[in-house]
Amino acid sequence: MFLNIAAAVVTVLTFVAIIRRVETRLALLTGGLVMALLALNPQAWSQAFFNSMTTAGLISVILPVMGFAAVMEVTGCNRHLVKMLTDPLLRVRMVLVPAAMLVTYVINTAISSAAGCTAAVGVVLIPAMMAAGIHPAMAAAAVFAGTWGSVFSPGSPHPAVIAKIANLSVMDVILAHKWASIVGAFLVAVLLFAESKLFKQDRDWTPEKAGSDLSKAKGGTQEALEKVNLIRAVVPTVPLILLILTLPQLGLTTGFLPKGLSVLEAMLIGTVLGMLITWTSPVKVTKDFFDGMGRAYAGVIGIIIAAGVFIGGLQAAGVIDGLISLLKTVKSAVPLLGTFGPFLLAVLSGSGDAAALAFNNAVTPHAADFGVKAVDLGNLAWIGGALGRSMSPVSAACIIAAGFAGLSPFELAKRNAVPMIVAALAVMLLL
Amino acid sequence: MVMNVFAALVTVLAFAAILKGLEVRLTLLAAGLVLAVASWSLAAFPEAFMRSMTTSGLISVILPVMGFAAVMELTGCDRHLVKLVTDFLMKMRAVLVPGAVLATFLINIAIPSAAGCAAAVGIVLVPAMIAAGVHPAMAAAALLAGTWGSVFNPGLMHNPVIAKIAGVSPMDVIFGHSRASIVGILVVAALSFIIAKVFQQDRGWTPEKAGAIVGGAGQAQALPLERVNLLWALIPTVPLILLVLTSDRLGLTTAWLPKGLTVLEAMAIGTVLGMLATWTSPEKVTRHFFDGMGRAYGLVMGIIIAAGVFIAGLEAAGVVKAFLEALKATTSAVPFIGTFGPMLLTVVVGSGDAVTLAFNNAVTPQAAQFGLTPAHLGSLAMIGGALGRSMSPVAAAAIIAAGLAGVNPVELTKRNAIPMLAAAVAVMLILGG
Repeated sequence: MFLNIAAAVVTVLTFVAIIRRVETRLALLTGGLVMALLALNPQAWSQAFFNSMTTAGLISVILPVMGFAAVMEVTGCNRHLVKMLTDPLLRVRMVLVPAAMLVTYVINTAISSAAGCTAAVGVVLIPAMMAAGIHPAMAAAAVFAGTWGSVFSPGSPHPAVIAKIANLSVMDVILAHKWASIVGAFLVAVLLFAESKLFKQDRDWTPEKAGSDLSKAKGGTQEALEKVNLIRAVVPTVPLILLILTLPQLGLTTGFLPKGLSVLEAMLIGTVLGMLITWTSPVKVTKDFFDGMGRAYAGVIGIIIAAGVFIGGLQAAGVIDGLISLLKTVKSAVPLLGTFGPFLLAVLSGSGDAAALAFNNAVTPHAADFGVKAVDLGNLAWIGGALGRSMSPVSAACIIAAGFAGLSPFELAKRNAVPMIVAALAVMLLL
Repeated sequence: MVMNVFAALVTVLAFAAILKGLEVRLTLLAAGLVLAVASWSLAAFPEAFMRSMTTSGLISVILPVMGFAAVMELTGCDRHLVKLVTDFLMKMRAVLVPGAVLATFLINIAIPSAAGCAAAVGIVLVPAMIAAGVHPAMAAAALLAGTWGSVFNPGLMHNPVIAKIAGVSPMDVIFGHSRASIVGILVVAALSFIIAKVFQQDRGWTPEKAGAIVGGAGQAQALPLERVNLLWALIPTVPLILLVLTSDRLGLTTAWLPKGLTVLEAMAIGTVLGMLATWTSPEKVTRHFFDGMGRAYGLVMGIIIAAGVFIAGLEAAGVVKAFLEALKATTSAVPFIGTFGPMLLTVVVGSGDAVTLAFNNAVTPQAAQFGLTPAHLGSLAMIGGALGRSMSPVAAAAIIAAGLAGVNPVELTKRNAIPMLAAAVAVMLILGG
């Protein structure tokens, strides 16, 4: 009993600390350590650390994706992709706001870091939208609202974790939520469109009138691209296309490509293609690829390790079993909890990763007991967290987008709140 | 046959390219790809990539060590240690290199993993030696040269295997080769000493002068420190001390510490102690620890992945198997083949375990035919493999040591080749005579 109370207190304190913007990994590691010590089982801590840091399924998926992303960045392919997709956009003023959101969403599937995608797309799109008379906050909010397209990226920690729990492949996990996520994205787009019409945000605004301070806005640090190179623009999407084409379910390409290409293989092929097309020095590509993998280990796997250690502490304290039996009595509330728990924490802390990972590690393995499929419950937590981040005024992506518009991040959060909450409800009902 | 010649050619070219200073990871990856394509098993490439990038035994050792190294750098503890021991090392400078070889050898008996030992000892020894003016590559080479002390550890896989074949106890196997191994390590230490002297590697070097990548993991700059804080200076050695004290074989501390602390646990304890002792912000420590792990993944694991891909290419080309078959079919010059066969292959593939096991299972039972005891022949293969690893540029231990010093692993091979070959000859003459 004492342990249960202690664990509850530690859990609350840990998440309060994350909301207060204590380094996420530190908060989770410390919470896990305290619980393991209270349970007089310090080795539960190192055991969980060891297990999480060496989980092959996570390492072999996440790191190559991030290595490839680093290569796309240095070869400039990312910029071509962004320009290719944003250029035609600016010719359709009527639906500029929802279209900007959807384009960001699509780009975010290839450039999967929310902050990185906002920076790449925002630098082009936000000033252009402002020039077209859209309220700066609305322009930035539209871009920011698209930054959960990463739910289609295999490089996120979540599909790998969910895949392990549900015993599926990473691509299966992603495809399991495709309809919910696509419907959710269109809902967001429609609602943004309605908002911009209703509040007259879509014409005749100038930055001065909106009170935005552009002196601090980051100017285009990279020189503008003259012309889009179509081949370069396509390269960042090659691995994802290959992964989908070679899905064993489709059986399309077994003739000349192996069935079920692994994520690693797809990324290696993409990297080599990118190197050949942009004629970049292999030494540089090798270096950037491994640097990208290393950075992903520190950042992405780092959070997975910390979340694993935290759950290890909960387990050592014997709380998980109690929690699961408690949840069994309120079966129907589990999806709600799974969606809006990470959602809320993401709004407050700027990232739903910690909460979604903790939820998925602790609760999702028992999904069947609540009458839900593990993959669906896991996806709910993942998407819930991603949607919450897309309306969080403290997320890095929001701060970057607000910087382009020269406004307070809260202006963006205000505009995105309704679309995101509605989308979360829709996704929950669909899954 | 064509394939074997081709593979040999690719291997030579790859090693030459690395010696010329081409990016190590790129060269090994490219060579592995060429071999995989030539042997028409393209899938060998991603398979080996996948396997190497997720090797939990290496990840769980290398990354925590490098994370800890980054924290030591952040807190400045490593500078205190370096300052503390540099004065002492300066006085001992004449015998610094052979001393490091012998110290590593002794510690490797207690921490029998070559990679783990190189990491735990290197984090203390390499920055200190560099600060004392030893060439970074020489410091790392001395460390690597000592990483075959594990032949004295009864838990090392080969000792029980040989014992079983010979029908004796593992300790009997160890006593059987103890004289040869002691002579061998003394030969290594003496030759390292001579190489350091002759090529003037033991004084007056700085990382800049040697072209080492400064700012890599564990590079302690000897910035002027007012005063050494003894507590701070001890922190970098805590994990090593913990690992040795809790070593299974010693059974010293079972009462208050768990037996066989893992490297990860030792490093985590060291990190927390360092944080407390220097009263550094936990946020900073966390960030540096994970950044250090990430950097180590990109650099050290990167080379290990590339080496794994290269070795898989060799295997796909059937060279390793052909070599093993040739070894197994040995009928003459057995002590020579038994020592240098495993040694040569280990230099190329970085790990002697597979070849030593194969040789011991296939040939050692018939040792009597060649006028040898099985224990001696088995020990020859084991020590040959271990010596080969200590001069291989693709061994995990070499990659870690080179990473700590910020140099190319081939630089270590250049320095260790002669001592290792001489030691192998000495061991062969004593055991096989």
